[in-house]
Amino acid sequence: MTTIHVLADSGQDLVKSHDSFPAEEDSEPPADELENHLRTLEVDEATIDYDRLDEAIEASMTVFDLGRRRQRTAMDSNLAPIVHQCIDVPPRVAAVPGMWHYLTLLRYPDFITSRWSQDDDLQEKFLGTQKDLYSNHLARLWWGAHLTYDEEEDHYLATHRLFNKQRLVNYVLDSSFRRYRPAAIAFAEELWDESGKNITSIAKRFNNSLSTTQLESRSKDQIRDQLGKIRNYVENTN
Amino acid sequence: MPTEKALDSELETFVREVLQNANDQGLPNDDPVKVTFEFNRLTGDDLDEYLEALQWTGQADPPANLEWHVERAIENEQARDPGLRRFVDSFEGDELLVLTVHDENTTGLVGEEDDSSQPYGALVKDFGGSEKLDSSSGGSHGVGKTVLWAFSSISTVIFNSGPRETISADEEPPRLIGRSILPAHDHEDANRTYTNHGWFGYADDSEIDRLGRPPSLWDGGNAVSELADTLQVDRPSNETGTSIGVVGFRIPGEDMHPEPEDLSEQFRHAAVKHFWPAISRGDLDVRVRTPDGDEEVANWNDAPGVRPFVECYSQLFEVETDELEGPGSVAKTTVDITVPEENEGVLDAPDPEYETTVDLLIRQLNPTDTEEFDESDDRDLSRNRVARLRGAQMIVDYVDKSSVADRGDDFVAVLVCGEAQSPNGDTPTPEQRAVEKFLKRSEPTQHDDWQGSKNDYLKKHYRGTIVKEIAALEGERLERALAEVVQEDVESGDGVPDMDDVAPIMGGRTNDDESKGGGPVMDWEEEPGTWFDDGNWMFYGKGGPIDEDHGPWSVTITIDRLDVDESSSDSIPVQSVKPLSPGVGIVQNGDSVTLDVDESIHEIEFEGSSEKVVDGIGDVREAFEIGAITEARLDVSAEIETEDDS
Repeated sequence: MTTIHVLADSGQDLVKSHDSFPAEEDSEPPADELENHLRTLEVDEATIDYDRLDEAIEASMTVFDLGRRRQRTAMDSNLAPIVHQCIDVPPRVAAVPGMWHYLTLLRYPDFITSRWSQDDDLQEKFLGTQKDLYSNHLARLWWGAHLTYDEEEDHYLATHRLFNKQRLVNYVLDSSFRRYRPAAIAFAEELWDESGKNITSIAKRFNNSLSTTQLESRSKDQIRDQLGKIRNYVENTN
Repeated sequence: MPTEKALDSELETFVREVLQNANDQGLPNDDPVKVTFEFNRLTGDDLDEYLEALQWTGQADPPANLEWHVERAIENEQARDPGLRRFVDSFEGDELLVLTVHDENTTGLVGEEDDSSQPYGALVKDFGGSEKLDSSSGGSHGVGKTVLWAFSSISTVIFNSGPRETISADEEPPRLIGRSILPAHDHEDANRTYTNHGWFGYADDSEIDRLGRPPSLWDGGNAVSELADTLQVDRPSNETGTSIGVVGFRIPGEDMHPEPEDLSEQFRHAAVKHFWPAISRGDLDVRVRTPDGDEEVANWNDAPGVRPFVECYSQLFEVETDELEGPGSVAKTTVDITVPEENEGVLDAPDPEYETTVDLLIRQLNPTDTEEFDESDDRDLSRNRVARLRGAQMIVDYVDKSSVADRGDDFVAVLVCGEAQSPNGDTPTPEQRAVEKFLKRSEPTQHDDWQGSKNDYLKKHYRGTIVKEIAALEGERLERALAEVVQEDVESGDGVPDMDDVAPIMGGRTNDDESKGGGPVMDWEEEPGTWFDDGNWMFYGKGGPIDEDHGPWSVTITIDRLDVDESSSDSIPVQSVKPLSPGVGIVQNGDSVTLDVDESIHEIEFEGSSEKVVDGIGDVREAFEIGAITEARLDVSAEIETEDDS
């Protein structure tokens, strides 16, 4: 039995209506106030290894140069599997937005701020939007890893590849098929070394093709095969 | 990861109907109706005794053995039953799969021999031959049982029941009766024809004369119980209920030897899929026992995709808000319905007309929901479906409302109607009762839809608007209620597409500011449409301004390529257009084309085609795969100058 901390919606509202955080530079979440809006969930078969996670996040912030885009991307690719391993919770729990709000706002605010300080939408990285859980930074790392983790072979190769390309991870996690694991893995495996421009064209054609085909009936290999064909077509017509 | 297996829809019908019958016959207490599907694979002595009790062979003259009848029945050309022939060809007397369905905490087969309003009578009445199973049987007891015979290799079913009440003192449970429904056949020597109906019952000549069939056997001593035991329909307890034996279980039109382990999985999936409301309320308990003695209780894991629906439904009496507050949140709204007044010619105490509402619960999906849908591998258990139910606590159907989610959040919804709207244990309001009756009467035999049109039974019972009211719970009125909850506020202006983009064919634009976004301005004799033909998208339309006092007008035609969300991803260039009416100017602008028409012309006709969309692509299959052939939509907008403009 593990206690999972969850920030209630009222806590989320508090952040949304806050004057200075995260809009102002060097501002911090109102931790004391937020503590009053915490709830807990008791979950069987869940463990959160904070020691290892703390260490990994701290090390990442030292090793990677967060002023450079390429380095930030590399950090995501490096951290996603660790986040997934350290936060060992069933998907049902990982789908609770408040759990991620607690982690980003009260556990790792400095990390989130450093990672996304160049971005306009810092609040979204802390909270996630109303419609989209995946924009919370930690949830994004966790779900991206969860979707691409190879359960049979027990490795995260596809996760590394997915996060290694910002355009790719954005497309996969923001698309309407994102919850279909074979598609997520196929994208990572097939398009990880493709240019951003081509990824956009291929993804658009793939989306178009889904107006006439049922994705859920296709295996990972079939989807890879299809992506390969689209790639050929896109490269030949360019 | 979805498996390749698709749930057999016939099997689903079977499970639905069996469970529906049992559920309808539940006793009025707080305990669940319990249904156990028990598979037995008979071999050796057990099988010999079974066949003997069934009189499969023997009794040659007069021919009373079942094998004799079955062998002749397969010769009937008018009523060909290939499954029956397959059985005869392959059965070697060494193995037989029997499915017994036990229901407990139910009324059992009560009723006199000839009272067809009761469960027993409904079962034995003549539904196999000329009497058509039309909509008039909707909602009534028992008729669903015809499905049982379809799943018996030799179309034979045995019933053993402990009824809740009996009529006379001689009638001591259990009550045993069997029935075969076979194609009619002849006795070649005796010049005699046999009808469809074969019976296993009490051989009493006077009763046979009176009823035209033997009555059921009742247990005086232990003989009937022992016979029931041999026939694999012994009751699990002395409590009331029925055990139904399906002789030689098969799936119609499929392999003669289904594997009970596979069947178990599919039975549980179907049970959970259609009965999760009853199961979640503790009203129904479904289990499957396989020949190895394993017994599995149907639970959410058998169809994980029901979970989002269950969670949605669990908020029926909890949630007040009609706004979604993020992934996993639930909102509640209503859909209006007017139940027409009942027809006094048919009913003694007809209800008046009721204007009322049914409840609609909507859950915004969270990521786990979709994972559960993937695991279920069932088209109905997926996003943007509305599960519809009434008091029977069975899902009538899952309606696909993906179109509503195109401009909003993904969701699942549960439409809760009639007596299901009242909390457990409360007396339903007159309105709820009226909706319940209205919908129940609209159900076809399979109870898998609410049908207003072409429903004579419904027409007989009501006076007033029927078709529109039934359709409201599936069509536009339901969609509007959903849209108000899941779609962004159109006024907010944050990128929600203009109405013209969504339903371009409905209207058009005029220069008159006041009518912008108003009603349709074009009257289409042939609504413009597009279709795919030999590598091109073709289009055609015919119409003109509604307002005859118009100035010059124009029609702009664009072919939109649609993506997975059915939103326009780009456009397919129009290559040629031919106005079939004279005096029309053509202007090509980018991918679109505009037809300019002067004020003297009131209607035009046009046709045309797109550029070839499959140029340079190997084959058609590949054209689909690389997103060259997609869904497309014709976007037609009109601009009409009014007199004031000029």
